[in-house]
Amino acid sequence: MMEEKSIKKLLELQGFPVDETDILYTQGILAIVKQAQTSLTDFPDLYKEKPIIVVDKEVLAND
Amino acid sequence: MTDIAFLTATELAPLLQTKQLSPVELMKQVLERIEKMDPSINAYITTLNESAGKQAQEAETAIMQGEYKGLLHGIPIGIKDNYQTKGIRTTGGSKLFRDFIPEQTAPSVDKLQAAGGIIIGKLNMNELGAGSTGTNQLFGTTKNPWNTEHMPGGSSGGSGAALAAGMATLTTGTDTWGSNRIPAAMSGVYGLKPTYGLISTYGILPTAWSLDHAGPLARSASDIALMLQYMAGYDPNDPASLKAAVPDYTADLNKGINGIKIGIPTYYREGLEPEVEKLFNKAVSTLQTMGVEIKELVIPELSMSTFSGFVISAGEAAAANYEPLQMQSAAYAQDTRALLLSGTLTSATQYMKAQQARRKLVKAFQKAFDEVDIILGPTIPITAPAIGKNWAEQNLGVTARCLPFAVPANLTGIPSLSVPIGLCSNGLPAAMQFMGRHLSEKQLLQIGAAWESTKPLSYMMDETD
Repeated sequence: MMEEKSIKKLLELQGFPVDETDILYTQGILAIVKQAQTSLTDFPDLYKEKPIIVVDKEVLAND
Repeated sequence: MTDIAFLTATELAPLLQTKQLSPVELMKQVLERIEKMDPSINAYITTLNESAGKQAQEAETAIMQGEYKGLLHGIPIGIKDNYQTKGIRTTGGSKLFRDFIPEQTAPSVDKLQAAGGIIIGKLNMNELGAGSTGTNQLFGTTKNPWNTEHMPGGSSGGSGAALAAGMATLTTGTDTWGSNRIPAAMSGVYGLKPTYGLISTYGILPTAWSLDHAGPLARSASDIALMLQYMAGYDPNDPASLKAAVPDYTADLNKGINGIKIGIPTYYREGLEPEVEKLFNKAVSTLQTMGVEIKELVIPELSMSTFSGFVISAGEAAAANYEPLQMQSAAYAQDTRALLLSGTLTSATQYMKAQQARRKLVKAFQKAFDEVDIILGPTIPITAPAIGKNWAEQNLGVTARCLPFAVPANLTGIPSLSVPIGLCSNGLPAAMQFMGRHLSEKQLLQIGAAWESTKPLSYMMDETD
């Protein structure tokens, strides 16, 4: 789990005002993500997949 | 006899067309219902009594002159407050937009109005669509009409609650990780998340672009079909809009479901509240008696849904709010702010891994649809929780519980229709969702109509007041 100090520092580096009471909730969501990320280990070939990406029609039109 | 305010649009339309019911009388009944019920439910942020009454009068005049526009003519519709409406305040449930008066109307709403639908108000929601509970610190929390001590689900909480309380005939919602289907499930109504791009999201305040879907909620599958008929269609202003033919969703709704193959992933049988599980199993048995072939499926890729759902939604929502979050951080509610801040702390690599996992999930669903016509699961694993004191913690907790069930359809872009399956012993509804191939909405609605004919809710909702 990302430490409170690290979270605070990373948010401040991005210019976000840090409310101490937000840190716990933010930490909780990051913990959910970290736990959920373990599911990826069941798919060792995941790196081969082409990610779903937003291909804007304006980009296609300019090609 | 059912109160007029609880009739579906499909039931009301012939009464209006044949002049047995006046649009003015219908509007009066619904507005009276809002006046009576909304002080305790809080489904609306803005009500439009005056303009709605005026438009009902105009509809009556037109119909009396033989100028009936079609099945939506004179029907009262509530609009979620993240759809822009010209000249009508559109808040997104947020302080940031508390005084925002748009100069345009979202095309999906424009089309409902052009067909004769009458906007009766703007509906309450979780701030910026970032929640699953229906709580809102600025405009007050919406309550569940089945039990006002419980949440209605979110983020389209007002949309589900207004229907359940007879305070609208039809409503719109948006769905990023279940925001149409979660409130539909908790409030005992029908909710559709259509195929990605089928309904334009232009003119709707974004939550997370690649997961956002606009869609209808209603008290019947036929009403969902009716709304979809008008809301669907290509929009050049929406980069994700599909250039796909729009079939007649309202035709052949009673085709039946005999012989349809339905798969239930084992993933959707895990973590259910016992009574939800019981009602779901009963619903599956009922479907079998209706001629459906049930097959158990194993889709291991579903296990990556929570990771993909959280990372993509939080990351995209953070990008959509980055500068306001730096400059007006205090304008956000704590739960929303925490979600957005978590999005700023996930890496670009994590985001792309989430999108790679999404590709795997798309492929896995395509493979599953080679074996079955429909994929079925409970919409959410729980009934509506009691509203807690710590609303921020509760919103994050309910999202963590419901997102894994709802978000696979957002990640894969496939349509999902949530339908009620009955009441648990606590008097609160439970629901299941039918998921189909891309653009299979017509088939989903036929299945929904067949299911509706089993009368899954055993008593009228108007007994709740």
